[in-house]
Amino acid sequence: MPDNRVLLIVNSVYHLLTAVHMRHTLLADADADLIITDVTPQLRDCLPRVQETGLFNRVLFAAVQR
Amino acid sequence: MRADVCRAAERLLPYALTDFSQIYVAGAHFYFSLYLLANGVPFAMFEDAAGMLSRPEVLYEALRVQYPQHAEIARRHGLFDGENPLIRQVICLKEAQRRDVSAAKYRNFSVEDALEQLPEPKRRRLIRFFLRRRIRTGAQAILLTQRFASLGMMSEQQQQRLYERLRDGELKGQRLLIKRHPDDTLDYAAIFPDAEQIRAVFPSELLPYVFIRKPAVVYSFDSTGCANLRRHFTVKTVRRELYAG
Repeated sequence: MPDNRVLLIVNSVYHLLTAVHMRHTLLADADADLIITDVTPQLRDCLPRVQETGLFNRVLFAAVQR
Repeated sequence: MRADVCRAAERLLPYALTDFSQIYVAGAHFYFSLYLLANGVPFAMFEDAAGMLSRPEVLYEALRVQYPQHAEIARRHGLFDGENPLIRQVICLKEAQRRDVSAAKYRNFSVEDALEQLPEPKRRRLIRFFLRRRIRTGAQAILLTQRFASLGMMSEQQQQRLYERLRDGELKGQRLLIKRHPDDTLDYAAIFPDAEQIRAVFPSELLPYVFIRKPAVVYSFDSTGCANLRRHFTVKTVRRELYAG
């Protein structure tokens, strides 16, 4: 298992804020990937901005709503 | 359901779970956690919103309305309250809890403190992530709306009547700015035709930093967002039973 490679999954704008903030603080030295789901549909609009920041190695969008 | 969840997760993930030293799940009661449980993978969870760790019944009821089977599975596996043994760390706002969170498993995370402690340029960068420009408003107060109907707590008509009564009651005569919950679909421009509306979607925890001149008061019924605003605004919690009918 690689050291300090983390995966975060977020479902709301509050979660996204927490994840982005943790990326700046607790997880500043980690190698981090992010999954954003459509549980909050508006989160899809944040996707390009999350990708632009380069904060996460890979940003995936998951359509989970039935 | 377990097989469906595993198939869906494996389609989504272009890598194996073993590629990661730690997995953080925000909203642990959604499907991805079931995939982790099925594979025996330990993980850390963020509470769903400030104080929500102590109110698992609220999350359960909200999920049960639309997805009863999923809600039962999530409850049985301790995904609302973080009790599942595979959940090794719970990141929550400790001061907003009504249960004992003193064990080592619980890690305090206050968005309000974290934002306050950030150097100004970093904080500005974080805010710009959600909101390009500061908000100019002449409002005296902000109304944080809640998504009662989409959580199945009432019908959309009942939610509309609730806010109409609030408009004609405690909020009468106030210059208002409406901050809609991201999942709330009610048309507040129709209910509050004289109020300003915030169109951008961002977490309410950023409200202290997004205004050129911020309103002094925040009104809400019992929005979890208020737990992170008390040092910056006068927070007025309105008793829902006074306006429900």
